Amino acid sequence: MTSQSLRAREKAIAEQFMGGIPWLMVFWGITNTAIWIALWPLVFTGIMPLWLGFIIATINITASYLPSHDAQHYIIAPKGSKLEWFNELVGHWSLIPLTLPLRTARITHMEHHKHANDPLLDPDYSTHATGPLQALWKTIVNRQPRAEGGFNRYGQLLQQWDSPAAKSALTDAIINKILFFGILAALALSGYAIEAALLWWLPRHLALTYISFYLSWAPHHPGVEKGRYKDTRAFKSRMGNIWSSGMQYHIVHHLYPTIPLNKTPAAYRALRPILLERGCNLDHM
Amino acid sequence: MSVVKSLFFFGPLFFGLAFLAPLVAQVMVRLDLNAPFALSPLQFGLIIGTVLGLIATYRGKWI
Repeated sequence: MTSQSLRAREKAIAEQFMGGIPWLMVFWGITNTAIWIALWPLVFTGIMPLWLGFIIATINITASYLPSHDAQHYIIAPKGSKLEWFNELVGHWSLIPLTLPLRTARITHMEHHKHANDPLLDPDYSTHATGPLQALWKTIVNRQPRAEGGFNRYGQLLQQWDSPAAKSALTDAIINKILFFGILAALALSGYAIEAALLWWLPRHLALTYISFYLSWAPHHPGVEKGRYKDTRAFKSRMGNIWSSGMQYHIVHHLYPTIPLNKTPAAYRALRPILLERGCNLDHM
Repeated sequence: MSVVKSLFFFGPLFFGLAFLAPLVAQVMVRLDLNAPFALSPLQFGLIIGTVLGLIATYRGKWI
């Protein structure tokens, strides 16, 4: 089979998993943020103990990225469609706990797709590491005030790109950061420092560690090759597919970014023979 | 942009003063801990927050 006909077959299979509103992702995004917001009055009024609020908040903030990820790719509703506003609403709303603006996440993520594993052009390249322990350490290093990686790298790249979209994304990121620390300070100075630390600040750090590890490092490791069939992989996670946020099948997402997250396992199984023919790194999956 | 950059440069110090200081003070009160040298929890928190914030501002990293 020629490369062209293989690609046509691959595309035909992938298209079976596209289209329609991924209601699971919509429900997930809306309820996850709603639950996180509800934690505040529940803890403040003593209905819920703080330790329980901390655990739930950590789960909420960790789970907040993926629904927005579908929105970043306009999977919930296509760009220019009547329901585009709904896509944007879910995208903005689901990211509130993580304090990452949708436009910032989208523009940097699209560049990641275009330039995955490129040391100069991939905004997520700073998560690359030789092994899991180094990957975990790098997530912490990348979050230091004057780190060269992580969100600081997003900021540097947004300034370099100098397009109207990049300027908007940078403005969003600056406002977002000031708002986040402003709210934390306001809560702390009002006598709710412990609550702010355990419902937002610390859970967010734990969530960013998880997200960087499972959503960025693991699916691209070893991250040395570039190209459509080489810049990501399938891998068997010790945590299983759900607890690794569906990232075992991340290769499907890079090949066909408009397939919703919850359909990537089935799409992977259907596409697997072609991916093997293409020489993809499937890690015995 | 230069104003924003300056603001973010001193971010760790602001964080130390406005968040870490009250956090340390409130943790001490919650755990019924006494500050050394007869300092109040807030005074102690301000010292900790300022010192850590200044170090992080100077080094560009907390750890």
